[in-house]
Amino acid sequence: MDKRLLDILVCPVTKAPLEWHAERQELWCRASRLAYPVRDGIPVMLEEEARTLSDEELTG
Amino acid sequence: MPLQRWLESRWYSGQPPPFWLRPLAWLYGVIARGRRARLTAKAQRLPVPVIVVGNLSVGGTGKTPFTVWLVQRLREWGYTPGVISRGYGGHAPQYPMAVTADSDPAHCGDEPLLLARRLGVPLAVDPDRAAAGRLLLQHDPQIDVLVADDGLQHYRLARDLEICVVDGARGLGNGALLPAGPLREPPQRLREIPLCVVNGGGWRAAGVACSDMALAMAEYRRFDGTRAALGTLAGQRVHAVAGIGHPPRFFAQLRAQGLTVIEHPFPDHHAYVAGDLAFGDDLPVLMTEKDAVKCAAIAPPHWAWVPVDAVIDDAGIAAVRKLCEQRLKPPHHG
Repeated sequence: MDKRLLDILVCPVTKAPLEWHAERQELWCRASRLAYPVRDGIPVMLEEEARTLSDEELTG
Repeated sequence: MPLQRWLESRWYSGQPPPFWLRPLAWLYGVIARGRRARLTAKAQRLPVPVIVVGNLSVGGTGKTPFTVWLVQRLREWGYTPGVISRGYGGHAPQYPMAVTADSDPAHCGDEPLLLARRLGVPLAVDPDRAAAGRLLLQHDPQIDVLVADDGLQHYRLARDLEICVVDGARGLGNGALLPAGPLREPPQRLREIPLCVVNGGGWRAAGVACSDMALAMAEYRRFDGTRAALGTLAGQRVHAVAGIGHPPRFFAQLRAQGLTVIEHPFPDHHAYVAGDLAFGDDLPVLMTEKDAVKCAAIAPPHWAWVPVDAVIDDAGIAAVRKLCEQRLKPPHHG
């Protein structure tokens, strides 16, 4: 994930910063509990495309 | 341009850029920074304020519909706007070239002609946008603001307000500079821009004011001058023609209206010939407004195009208005 891109992207719902999870190719937002997919290196920052994070993932 | 299509597949739907593209992107960044510094130093300032509507990435983002929307708002707020453009895709016999509703798209380019027809404002094209601006001001001294369609990286022209349009679904792609990615400038450039308009909504950037824009389709207009609501075609199969930056968006929007779409994507700024559009049946044919500008001569009267209007919420309208009040001198007769 391009570092400068990661620095500038935020969660569209909460505007909070994102965590890059390479193993799952997802950008996580703890504030909204959403995980946005990164497909072929391209972040898809659309709420309807995001997955809801489980409690374990959030506390893990 | 097969290279363009291959690169675009890497930017938007391929694997991470191959290793040999990264140094090229690094080189591109160095050249772009040097060029920007050199050009900004001797940027030409026009006697009236300039608003640049541009984007960071190559490819369709919805910049033209936003430009139409902005010019309409400026008029409502009492300004007398003119529009300047590079005239991409056209080759004028002489630059700068004033563009009117019946200019030849092969000379001025399809987007400027669409803007001239849609807005009826003074418009000129020139790779040197400042020269296009001066031409307009000579002819129409009451112009009190110039809107540049594209030109965010055209640092030869000093500007008072920059607005960047981003495609909400594609964002900044993989965030890499050309040719490894779609960006003409690094993502951080957005932090210098007072407003980013997000086409299709969603996408946001840290420390950047963002407003959502939707593209609304309501009707289609036939070349014989008649019109009808798009909904009347719901459930029917239609040929959809799109020679724009991102054809899938046009096809998806038609599907959202309930149409069954047979896709005919063409490269942006494609010059149509009759053979391109010989579908061999009598199903309705719908194209984008930009394509209609170029197909007027070869399109049968019952074919049609679908104008698209930018829709921006009240907060977005207020944000743009506040920026204009802050950055532009008041309208001449305001």
